[in-house]
Amino acid sequence: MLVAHQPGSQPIKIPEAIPNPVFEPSRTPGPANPVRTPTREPVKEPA
Amino acid sequence: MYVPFNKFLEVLEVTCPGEIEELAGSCLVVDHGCVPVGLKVQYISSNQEPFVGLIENLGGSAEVLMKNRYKNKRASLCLVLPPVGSARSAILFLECLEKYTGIPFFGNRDIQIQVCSPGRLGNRYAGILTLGFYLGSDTLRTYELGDLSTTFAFDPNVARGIRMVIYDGGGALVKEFEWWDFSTTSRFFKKTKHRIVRQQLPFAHERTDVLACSSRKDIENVNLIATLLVHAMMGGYWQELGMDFANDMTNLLSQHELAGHLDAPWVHDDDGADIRNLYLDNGRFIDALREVGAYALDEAARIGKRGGTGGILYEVSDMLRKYRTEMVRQSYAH
Repeated sequence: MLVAHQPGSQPIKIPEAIPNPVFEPSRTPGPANPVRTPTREPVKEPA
Repeated sequence: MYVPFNKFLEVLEVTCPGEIEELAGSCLVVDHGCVPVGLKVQYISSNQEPFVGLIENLGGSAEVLMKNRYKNKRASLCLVLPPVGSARSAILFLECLEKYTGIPFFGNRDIQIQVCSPGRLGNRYAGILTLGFYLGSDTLRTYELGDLSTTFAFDPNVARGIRMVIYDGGGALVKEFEWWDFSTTSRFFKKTKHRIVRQQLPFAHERTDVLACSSRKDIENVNLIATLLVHAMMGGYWQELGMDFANDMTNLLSQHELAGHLDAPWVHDDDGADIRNLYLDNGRFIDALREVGAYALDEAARIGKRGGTGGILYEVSDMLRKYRTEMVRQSYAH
């Protein structure tokens, strides 16, 4: 385990081998047009 | 010393006939004027079982392994493969070996792939090759000196120290691969570059090897960087592009205040050096590599915490992509 430290910052521990973040798969984006769940209009009570 | 390529094809054809047919057709083909690729497979495990059948069918241990004095000190065997024309063929060769042995060669902590390129790069270029490979790899590792120690580290005749990049040991080099050269004509104050494809490499035995490669991307990156830098050094076809790459990498390192590390002893080039200097230089090399690695990982962790991207790792990958694209473009343009 390597400890990396920059002045003014807390040291961080670096494991022996880590995937290069450049090649990590990005998060799957959400749908462009999400389905809207229809909402029920409240029924107006007759006067 | 290595087993002839035809013998490998004959043995590996049993488990992957289609791939071997493709490899047989492409093994001498050079891609875009890049230098050919030699490989050494270092197996860091005491259980040699996966390789027993392969070694027997290639001619036995005496023929395949014992003739070669060189290996990683922690390796139980070092399989020296005959060189092929391109990174693409080298990767295909290893994939065929994976199928035959039944163990993964890529991303396997028990396997170190040594990528060998023709030509001996000077120290500064060896530093650029080391850092370009290291920062452009898909896995970043912290190394101890013991991970990179070879049987030639302190050899009295061919001492190579402990490095990520080492020179050849004076053995034979297969020269029968294309080497892209160029000539220039001037007409009406306009210079035109003409490609000359020579049928032999301009080297006798000189090589620069990168130890501890572990992925397809590593092989491709080392081949690209070694090509650019050896052409820059030798005045080959890619001289201008290679010098631009060296300058860009140096500037990138300067921007991150790491350019001073290019003066570290990245490759040992003095056969018969004082043993005390060898030890000192080993320490200076690993310190420089660790500092650059720690900086890169620290920066990536901090940027990642903020949810962003960027930093030296992205910049190196972008640069390698840019130069690969430009090399392909220029190779088709002329």
